[in-house]
Amino acid sequence: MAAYSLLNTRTTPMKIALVTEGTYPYYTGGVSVWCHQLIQGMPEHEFQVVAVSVNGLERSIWTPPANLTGVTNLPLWGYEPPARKRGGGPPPAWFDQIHLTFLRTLIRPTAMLNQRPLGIYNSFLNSLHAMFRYAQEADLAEALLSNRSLERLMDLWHSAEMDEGFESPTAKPKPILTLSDALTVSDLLEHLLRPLSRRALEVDLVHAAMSGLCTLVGMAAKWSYGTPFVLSEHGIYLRERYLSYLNDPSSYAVKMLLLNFFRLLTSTSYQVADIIAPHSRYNRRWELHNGARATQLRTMYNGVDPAEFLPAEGEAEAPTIVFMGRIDPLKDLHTLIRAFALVQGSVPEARLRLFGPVPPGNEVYYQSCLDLISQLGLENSVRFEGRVAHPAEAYQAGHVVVLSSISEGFPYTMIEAMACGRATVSTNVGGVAEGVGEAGMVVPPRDFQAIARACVQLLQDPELRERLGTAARERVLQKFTLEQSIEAYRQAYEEAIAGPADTEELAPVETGLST
Amino acid sequence: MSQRSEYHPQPDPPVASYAGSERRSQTALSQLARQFDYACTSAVDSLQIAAALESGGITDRIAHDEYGLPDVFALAEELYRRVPRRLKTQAGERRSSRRWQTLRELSHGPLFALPGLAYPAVAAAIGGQSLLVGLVFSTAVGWAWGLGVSWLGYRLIGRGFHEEAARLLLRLSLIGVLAAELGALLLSYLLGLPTHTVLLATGQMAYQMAASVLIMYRLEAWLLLSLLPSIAANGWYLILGSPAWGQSIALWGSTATLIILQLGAFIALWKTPRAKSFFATLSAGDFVGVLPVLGYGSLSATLVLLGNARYMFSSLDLSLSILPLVLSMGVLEWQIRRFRERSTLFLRETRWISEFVPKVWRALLQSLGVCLLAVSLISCVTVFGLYQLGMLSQEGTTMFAAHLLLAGAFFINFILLAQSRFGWMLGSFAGAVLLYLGAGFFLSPALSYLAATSLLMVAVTIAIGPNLGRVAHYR
Repeated sequence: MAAYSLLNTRTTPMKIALVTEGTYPYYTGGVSVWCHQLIQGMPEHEFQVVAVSVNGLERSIWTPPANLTGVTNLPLWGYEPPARKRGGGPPPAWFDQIHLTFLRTLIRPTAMLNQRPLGIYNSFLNSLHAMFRYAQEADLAEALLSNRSLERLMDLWHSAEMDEGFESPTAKPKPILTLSDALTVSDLLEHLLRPLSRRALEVDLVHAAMSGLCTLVGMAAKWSYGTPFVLSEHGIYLRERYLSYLNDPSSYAVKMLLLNFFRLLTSTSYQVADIIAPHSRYNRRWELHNGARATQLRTMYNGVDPAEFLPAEGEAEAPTIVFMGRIDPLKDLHTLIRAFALVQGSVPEARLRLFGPVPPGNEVYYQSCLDLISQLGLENSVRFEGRVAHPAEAYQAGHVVVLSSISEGFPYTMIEAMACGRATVSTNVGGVAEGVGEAGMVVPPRDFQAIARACVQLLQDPELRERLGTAARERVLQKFTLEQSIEAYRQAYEEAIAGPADTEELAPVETGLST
Repeated sequence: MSQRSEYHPQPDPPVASYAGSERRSQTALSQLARQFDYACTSAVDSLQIAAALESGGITDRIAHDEYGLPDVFALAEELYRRVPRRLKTQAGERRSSRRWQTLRELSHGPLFALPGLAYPAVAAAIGGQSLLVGLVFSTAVGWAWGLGVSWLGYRLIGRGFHEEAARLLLRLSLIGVLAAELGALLLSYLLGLPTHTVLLATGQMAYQMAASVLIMYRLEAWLLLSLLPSIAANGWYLILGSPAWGQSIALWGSTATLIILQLGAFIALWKTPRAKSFFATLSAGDFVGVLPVLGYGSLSATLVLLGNARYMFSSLDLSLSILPLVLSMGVLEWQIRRFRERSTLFLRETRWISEFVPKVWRALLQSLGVCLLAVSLISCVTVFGLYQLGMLSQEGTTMFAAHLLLAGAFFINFILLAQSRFGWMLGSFAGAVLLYLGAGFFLSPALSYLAATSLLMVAVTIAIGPNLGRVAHYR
C-alpha cells in the first residue's frame, strides 16, 4: 500500500482519449465496467472514447458520465474509409518498399522478434508508421488490395526465403498460400489497419483499454504529436487471438499470417507505450515474453465498490450454483454444464442459474449450450436467466459462484462475488488465482470433474462456505477496492505525462498462488 | 477481457499423427502432446500451443515440476519442435444443393414471363391505352424500386441482420406499392385515363414486390403455385380465342394469383423472427449507396420500355421479340453464379495472378457464351415459328437481334454491379437511351434500338476489360 500513499498529489485536468475495441460503450462485460468506472472515478479529467467497432452502427448502452465529452466510432467493417486520392495511378515506389518490409516481417516474424530490445530494428513498427503517413494522404485500402501488393505477398511466400523456415526435418508438409488466401489475408489486414486512415487524436494522453487494434490509435497520436500512451491489458489480447484461431476453419497460411500480425502488433505496441498496465501479475509473463520491458510495467488490479456489493443475506432454498457473465466460448460453459451434471449426482436438488446476456454473434454458442443441457437431461435444473439489473442480485441468488473460463484477465465476476461474501469456485486462468488467494477454490480449467468436486464440497459444507465467503469479502476490502484501482491509474497517467519511466514497478505486488 | 470470441465447434477427436516409437512413447511429454494433439498439430507457432496449454490448465509450476522445463513457453516450444504440423484440406462443396439452386435460378425467367398471359384479358377489360400506361409506369417504378430494395435487403442479410432485412423489405415494399398507386393516380388524372389504370399499376407493382420477396427467400415454388390460378384462367381464355364471356373469369384468376402471392410474401416475412431490440442497421451511407442502384434500375427500365412499349399492340413478332430475353433471365442469374464460383475456384487453385487473369477471362467468355446461346436458341425457335406462320418482318428480326445484345449487356452489367462500377453502368445506359432517342430521327425504331443496344454492349465490354483481372473484386 506504500505506493498508493504517494498518490492524489496532482490533479491537473487532462484531455484523455480512452480507446476500446468491441467493449465500451456498446457492450457489457468486465472491460466496459472498468472503462465506465475509470471515467466516473476521475471527474477532474475530460475523456473522449474512441471505440473500434464492427460496422459503425452500434449504439451506446451506458449512460455517459458528465466528463465523457464524446464517443468516436471507428468501424472496421461495413463502410469503406474515405478515400484520399493521390492523383490516381498506382502507389509510389516507396509504398512498395514499406509494404515489402511489412510482409517480410509478417511472414518471418521471429527474425525481428528475437532481437532484444527491438528498438530501431523494429521493421514492423517502421512499416506501420510509414503506412500511417501514406494513409493520411492516400487510399491505403486500395494500395493494400492492388494486384501488385497481392503479387508481392505471393512472391515473398513462395520465395526460397520463406520456404527455408519450413525445412526442419519434422515440419511437413509446407503450408500452401493460394491466391485466395493472399486475398483473404490482405482484405482482413486492410480492415484491421483502418484506424491508420484516421487523423491522429489531439489529446493530452491516449489510454488503450487493451492491446491489439486499439494501440494503432495510440501509436498514431505518438507519431504525430508525441502524445503519452498508456496501455492496459485486462486479459491477454494475443493469447485470446491464439485461442480463437485454434479451431478457425481458415487455411493454415491465413491463420499464420494473421496471428503473426497480432503478435507483431502486440510486441510493437509494448515498445511504443510509455506505461503498460497488466491487470494481474500473471499477464506480465506474456508481456515480458513478447518484448515489454519490466520498467514499463505497473500491475493494476480491478476494484469494486464495497458499498455497492454488500454481503449477501441468507441463501436460496435449493442449493444453487450461479454463473455470472457473457455467454461466450471463453467462459467455457460446456465444462460448467458437464460439471453440474456430476454435481446433481451428489446433490440431486441442486440448481444452476446462468446470468448474463448473449452478445450478438454468440447465438450459435448459446444454442450449443442449450443442446448440451438437453443432451444431459438437465432442462429442469439449469436456467439461463439473461441480463440482470445489478450483478449483486445474481450473486445473492446462489450458494456458490462459479467461474469456468479458459482465459481471463482479472475478472470482475470473481471480486464482485467475493465482495458479496460468496464462496467461489474458479478456474486457474489469468489473474484468478492472485485474486482469490486462499479465500476460494481454484481448479484447473476445462476440468469438469474438479469443478464438480469443489461445488459439491461447498454445497454440502455450510461452514466452509461461510468461512470462505467472509475471508473473500475481507480480501476485497483490503486489496481490490475501486478507490485503490482509480488512484493507481491516476498515478500512471501522471507518470506517463512526466516522461519515460526507468524504475521498476511501484504498484503493490500481490502474488497469490503461483502460476 | 470482455470482447466476444468466435465459437467453432470442436473438431473430431484427433487421430494421433505420430509414427513408430513416438506413437508408443509413454513419456510425460508424449502424453501431453497427445492430450493437446489438435493444438500441437495445427499451431502456427509455439505461442499458440502455450495459449492452448494454459487454457487446459498447464501452469509454469506444472511445466517445471512435471516436465523439467522453466515455464509454459519453454514447454510449448518443445512441443512445437517435436510434433509435426497436420495441415487440413478444404472441404468440397455439396453438388446436390447446387443442382437445386440452378433449377431455382432457371425458373426465374419463366416466372417473370408468365404474368404476361394476363395482359390480353386485362387489355380487353380496361382498354389498350390504359394497359400500356399502367404497365409501363408500374414496370419502370417496380424495376428501379425492386432493385434498390433488394440491394438494401441483401446488404442487411450479408451483415447477418435477417430480421431487420425482413422488416425493411416489408416496409419498403408497402411504401413502393403506395408510391406507385399515387403516381398512377396522378398520371391517370393528367392523361384522363380511367381509374382501372390505377388498379392495374398498383396490382402490377404489388406483384413485383411480392415476387422479389419470395425470390429473396428462395420460395419460387410458392410463387409458381400462386401463379397457377392466373395461368389456368388466362390460358383457358386465350385458347378459347378470348371470348367476352370468359373475360371476368380470367380477371378473377389474376386477382386470385395476386392475393395468394401477397399472402405468401407476407407469411415469408412474418415467419422471420422479429429482432429483439431495434437498433439501426443501415446508415446514411447505405441510403446514399442505393441511389446509383436506383439510377441504374431506372435507366435500364427506360431503355427496355422505350424500345418495346410501342410494339405491345403491334404485330406479334415485334411484341414477342423481348420474350427470349425475359425467359433467359434465369440463365443469366445462373451463369453469374457460375462465373463467381469458377473465379473463386481459380483463386484457390492458382498461385500467380498471371495465371489467374486468363482463366477468369475464359470463365467470363464461357458464361457469356452460355447466356447468348440460351437467348439465341429461344429466339431461333420463336423466329422459326413466326416465319412458318408468315408473321416475321425484318423489323421483328432486328428487334430479336437487339435483345440478344441486350442480354449480353445485362450479363456484363451484373458483374459491373458486383464491382460497384456505377459510373460506367449509368453512363453506358444513359448513352444508349440518348442514342436511341437521337437515332430515331434518322433510322427506324428497331434499327435505333439495335444501335443503342450495340453501343451498350460495346461500352460495358470496354468497362469490364481492365478490371476483370483485379483480384480484389473477387473478395
